[in-house]
Amino acid sequence: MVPPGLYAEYGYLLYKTGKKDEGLSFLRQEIKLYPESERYISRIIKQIEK
Amino acid sequence: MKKTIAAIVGCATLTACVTTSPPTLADQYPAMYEEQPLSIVIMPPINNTNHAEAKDYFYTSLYHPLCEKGYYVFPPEMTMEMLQHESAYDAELFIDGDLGKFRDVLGADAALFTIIKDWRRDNVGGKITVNIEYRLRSTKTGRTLYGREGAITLDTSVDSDDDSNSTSLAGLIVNTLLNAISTASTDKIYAGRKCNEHVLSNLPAGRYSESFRKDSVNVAGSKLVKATIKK
Repeated sequence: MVPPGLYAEYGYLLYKTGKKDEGLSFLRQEIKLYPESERYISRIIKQIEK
Repeated sequence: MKKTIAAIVGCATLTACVTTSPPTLADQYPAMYEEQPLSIVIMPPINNTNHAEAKDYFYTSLYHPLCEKGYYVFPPEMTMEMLQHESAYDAELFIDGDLGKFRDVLGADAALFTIIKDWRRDNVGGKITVNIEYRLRSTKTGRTLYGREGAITLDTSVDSDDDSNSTSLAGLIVNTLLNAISTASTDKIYAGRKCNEHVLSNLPAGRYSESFRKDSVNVAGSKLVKATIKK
């Protein structure tokens, strides 16, 4: 099982290196795997999608 | 009369039993079992030492042991960036204050505060000393759910095989140099990691652990952990 936060960190790094869509997909994976992360990660996703 | 004596002896035995049984995790940290936090945000450590680097080094070492204990830990790099952006890099501002914001913004159930009280390197003796207090507070009720402190000494001194080294002046200098090199090259966060290991060993397990809700009868141990570790 992927530890907490790893999908999110990786997704955020991808976004910062210009791979926005791929990054968003990993951020969504984090929420799927750890629903308790939704409030924080969905906020980040919204900021990125703006 | 005999009955009275027997009663007194009985009471004394009972009292002795009560006082000698060590506290369990449920006795020492009842709020942990009442609130059962699932997600933890690691706050930037409060650094009361002159070693500025200790704050960042130590921050990076906290993620792993909390995950191992079965908690959801907010992604440390991203969260640190957010905390800095929101001017929350100084955890001193929040340690005694309202933590509702962390619940609203992150959805965190609890926040882990750490206070670095000592982070010292003694090159001559080859020792690294760390003294860190850990405090887990609920974002819902503000209660301290868990608190413990560690005073860990890491002995990195080099034992010279040559006896003549320890008696002659040149030998003493060689040993001092060897110790300095050994201490300097020691991973700076190794002592911090060891402190986490010792202190957080009695943190009640989180929901992702198989021990969740099963460890309440375990012996809690001392609230101050002192240990010397030979590396």
